[in-house]
Amino acid sequence: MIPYGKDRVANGILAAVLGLMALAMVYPFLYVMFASVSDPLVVARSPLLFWPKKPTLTSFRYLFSVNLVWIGYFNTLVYAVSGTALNLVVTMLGGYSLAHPDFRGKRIFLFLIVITMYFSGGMIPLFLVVKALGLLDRRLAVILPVAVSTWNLFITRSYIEANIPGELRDAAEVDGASELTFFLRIVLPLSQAILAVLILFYATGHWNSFFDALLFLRDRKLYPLQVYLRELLIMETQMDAMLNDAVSDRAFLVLTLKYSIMVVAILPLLVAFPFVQRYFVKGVMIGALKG
Amino acid sequence: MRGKSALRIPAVILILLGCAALAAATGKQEDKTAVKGEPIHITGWANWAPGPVKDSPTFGNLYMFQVAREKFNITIDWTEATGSTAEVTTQLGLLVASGKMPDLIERIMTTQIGQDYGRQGAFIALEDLIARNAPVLSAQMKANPAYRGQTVAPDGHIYFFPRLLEDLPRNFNGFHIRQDWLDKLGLAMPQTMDELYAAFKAFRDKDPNGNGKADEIPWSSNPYPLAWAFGIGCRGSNNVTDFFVEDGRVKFGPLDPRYRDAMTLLAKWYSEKLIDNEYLGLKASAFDTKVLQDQVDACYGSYAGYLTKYNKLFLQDRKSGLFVGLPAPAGPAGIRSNLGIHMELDPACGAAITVQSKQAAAITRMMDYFYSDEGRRVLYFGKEGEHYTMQGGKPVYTDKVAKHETLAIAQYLNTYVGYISQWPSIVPGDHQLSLYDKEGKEALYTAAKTAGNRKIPILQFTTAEVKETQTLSRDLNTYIDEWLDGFIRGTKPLGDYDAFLDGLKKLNAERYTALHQTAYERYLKATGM
Amino acid sequence: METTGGKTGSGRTAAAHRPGEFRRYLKRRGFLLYLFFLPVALYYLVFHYVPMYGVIIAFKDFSPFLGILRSPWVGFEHFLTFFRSIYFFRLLRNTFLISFYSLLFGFPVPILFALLLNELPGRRLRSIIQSLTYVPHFVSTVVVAGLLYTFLSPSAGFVNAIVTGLGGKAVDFLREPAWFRFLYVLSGVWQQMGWGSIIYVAGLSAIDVQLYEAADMDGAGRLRKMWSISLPGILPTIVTMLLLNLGRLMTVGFEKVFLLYNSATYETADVISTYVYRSGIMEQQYSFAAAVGLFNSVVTLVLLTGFNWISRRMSEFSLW
Repeated sequence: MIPYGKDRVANGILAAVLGLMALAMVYPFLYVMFASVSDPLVVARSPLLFWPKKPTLTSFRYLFSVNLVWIGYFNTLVYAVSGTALNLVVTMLGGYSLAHPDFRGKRIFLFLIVITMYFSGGMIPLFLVVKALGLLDRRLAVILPVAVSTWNLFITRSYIEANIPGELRDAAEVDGASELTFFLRIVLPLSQAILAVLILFYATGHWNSFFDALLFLRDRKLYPLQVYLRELLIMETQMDAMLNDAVSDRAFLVLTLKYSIMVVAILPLLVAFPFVQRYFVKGVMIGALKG
Repeated sequence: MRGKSALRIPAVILILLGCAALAAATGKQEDKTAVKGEPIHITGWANWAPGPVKDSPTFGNLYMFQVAREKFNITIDWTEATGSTAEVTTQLGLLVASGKMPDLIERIMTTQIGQDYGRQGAFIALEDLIARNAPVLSAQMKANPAYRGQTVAPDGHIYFFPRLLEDLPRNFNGFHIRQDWLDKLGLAMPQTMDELYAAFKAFRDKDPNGNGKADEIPWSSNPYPLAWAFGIGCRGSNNVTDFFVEDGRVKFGPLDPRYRDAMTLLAKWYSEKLIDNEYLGLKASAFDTKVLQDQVDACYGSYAGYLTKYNKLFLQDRKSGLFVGLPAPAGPAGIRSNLGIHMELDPACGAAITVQSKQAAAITRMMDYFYSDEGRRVLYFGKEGEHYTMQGGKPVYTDKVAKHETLAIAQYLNTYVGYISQWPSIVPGDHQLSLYDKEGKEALYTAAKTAGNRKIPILQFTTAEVKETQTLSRDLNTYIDEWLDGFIRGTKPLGDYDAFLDGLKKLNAERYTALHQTAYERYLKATGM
Repeated sequence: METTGGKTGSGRTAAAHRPGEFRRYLKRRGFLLYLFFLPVALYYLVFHYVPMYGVIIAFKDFSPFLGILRSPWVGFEHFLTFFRSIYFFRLLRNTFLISFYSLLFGFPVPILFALLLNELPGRRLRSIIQSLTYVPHFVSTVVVAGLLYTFLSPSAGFVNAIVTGLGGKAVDFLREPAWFRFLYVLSGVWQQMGWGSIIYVAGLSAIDVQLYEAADMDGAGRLRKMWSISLPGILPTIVTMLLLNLGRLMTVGFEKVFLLYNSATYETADVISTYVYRSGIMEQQYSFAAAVGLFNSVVTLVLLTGFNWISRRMSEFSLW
């Protein structure tokens, strides 16, 4: 473990400051949680909440009564797991090669990749490509077009550059290890932290995505969670909207529904975080591996 | 010869048998109604999502389509698209770009888009088909020139089946006021802007909500509708344009001298705290809070989404509180004007038949059905006995529809019966009325009487015109937004009004008006036919 | 400062350009490296470069039905329309300033937070605090905007209650142009600090423990260790992140501004993306939006190339 300062006072102050900051940050989500279980009428009348008011589970019951939400969860899980797996493989391989000092043509490739962050043909040509590949209305349509995130690719590359020292590489070469062995046996184990980060970033991206599904998928049974949730919200908002239609006696469901939807969408992620977090809180023993 | 005659008898028998079979076959068909022919299968694209209930049918199995199958033998294989309006518009764009369009597009997203695609050849021209296969729609267009005028494209063609509205449904949006506060303070219903001013001051000062605090807000939500009393056009609820019609011409509100008077008055009311000082950027939920905290006296909005809803909530909360419709107040020239109503045409809906369809005539016949009284009854009310019953000669929704556990009436209808929110038809008054409480119904009638006729009809532009109006409107809209709120809130002094006018002229507001005038003249011509 | 990174681009002599040399390179390790890179290359080729012909939408009056090739060509017309807008400079200025301030204040904060967090003993405490700080990232912008409006309301918000309680006058924060950028940046920092610090925390966790132990033995204090070990250890990451963020300099997402602004604050708040949005997404103004986007991209890419060059001169790290 990293040797920490023994100064108790400094540690104490630090803990207090960071702790307070963390609590301040978490209030809005607490608000969302409280609002999702409060009576809509009460929330509408006095929106500031420090605890749930007149607790009721109506919005949640409504949400989960709809089969679609369960199908959505399932689909999102499938996309997140398979998508992230693909992301990891492609990004690590790519990031490693781009971090390698001996990669000829590296600068050109990097520049070409940067270009794609700025110039894009737009949705219609992308749609036509996906269609030409025969991916329309198939699960792969939501996974392949997002196989690599340029942002994540670059931070992987910089992580590897920062943490795989030249000596290690030279030592491996002297030992006669092939590039592949080096990658699998040395680089990957040392990359736990970045792998954890990539899992976090990519999985969250998949979890929150909906637009690609709207564009490329037709079969409702393939839609990820976010599509259904947004649909519900739009429907309720339209019913409540000024323009045309009246609402029934369970009016105002839309108010707390929006919060329940958020809770349903976010909570699984928050629950999953600690499992991934432990991988970048561990210290890594480079010294031991050197031996 | 013997050979030939031997064959003759079996041949005759065969022929007779053949004729009998043929007669039997055609006889079966002739037993059905004359309209039904061969079974027809078409494909469609619709902006619809199933309702959030377990047994929600697919779009093609709504009751209205079951009826269509029985009557016309048409089965439609629908692709359903959902999302926000912008997202669905994108999906429509993708559909059109993909080169493989279905027969029927349920929603063209805006009439301008529908027209553009029609002109480019994606949608077929319908006027001949309508003349030959849609007698009900043709008759309706003849009886209501405004229907036709707003549906016809500048090139004279009709590219979509319009969604139209009867008089009452058009007046869904209007002024509100708290009747119980008027009663408490002994005030009569204000009819003019002056009377409204006096009432507002009373509300501000005399504490009608009885809590001892001067927290009443005489007018909340944005105050632009109050400017309409001056006879001019001004952007506001359900009215994205500053244009208005007067003396047979299109005029631009900000360029009209009465606009200055309106700004002056609104600025005065704002500074006297008669208008909510937080109206700008007020979120819907924040507005709800103000209403429920018994602070808001008057506002402008939908009689369903505001009046009926809030009255129901007041009841539920067991507070006092009763909103009623306030007649559009008469301005200095005695003009009453409500520009937030719908026009006869819904510019965000309409159905089109694509150029790839081979069943245009049959589709037209089906579409025509839903303009007829019988079809409208099916679409908006469903099946007699199951979805509605006749009471005193009027259709009334059954409890199955009106008291569903999780769905509002409109939602129920959209989910099981008929796509009332979008399907091209003529929205009937009786359906609209059923969505309101007692005060809401009265408000509808009041609004219909005091709406005036200054609202600009839905105009159709040519491609070149659209390009110009879009370019001009970008800067003009931002400019007017800033000055409008600036004047009212006092951040732009009224002394700068001439600078405001100069700016408008520099931004080509006059050219912008001229373009609309041209389109309006085309509209007048189209209604004359 | 220990050089822990690989170097970008190996030195090449004239001899290296001979074809035989290349084949040997391939055999040695080039082939494997290219193989590793292949999936990435395929991805960008298929999903980014093949559709890239769509950029010419900006030079056409695009209609989805006519398609990209058959839509009429209009050259620079849309660009000129945009440049001629009376708000052009204001939009440019606002977009730049908002993204610049966001960067100026939003970039260092996650780094500082990661460094401070790294100093806390107790893995569980660190873990909990870290998790709590992620949460704002997931709270949707709509909720954040709604809360801001509630807290900052001149009549009912608690911020103004404190202000008037202390004897001041209530400030209508969300309708005063002068406050917009501050509120936008502050809420951004608050929302992204935790999530943005993840990559730095990860980088810090990978620093060789022995370095700290050695420094301890040399008698180095906490701050000295932070400055000489922690910070340099994540320097490549910091530079990469800085460059990636600079690459977003002229990009201000439309949603948050849209939820927080109103016509009273257009002067400081209206950015390119909101202006384009107001011009009517519904009317399918694909071409105009594409032209504005293209202009934006070119400007930003030029800026980024400059920053990248500077970075390469000043440090060993750069994007390319």
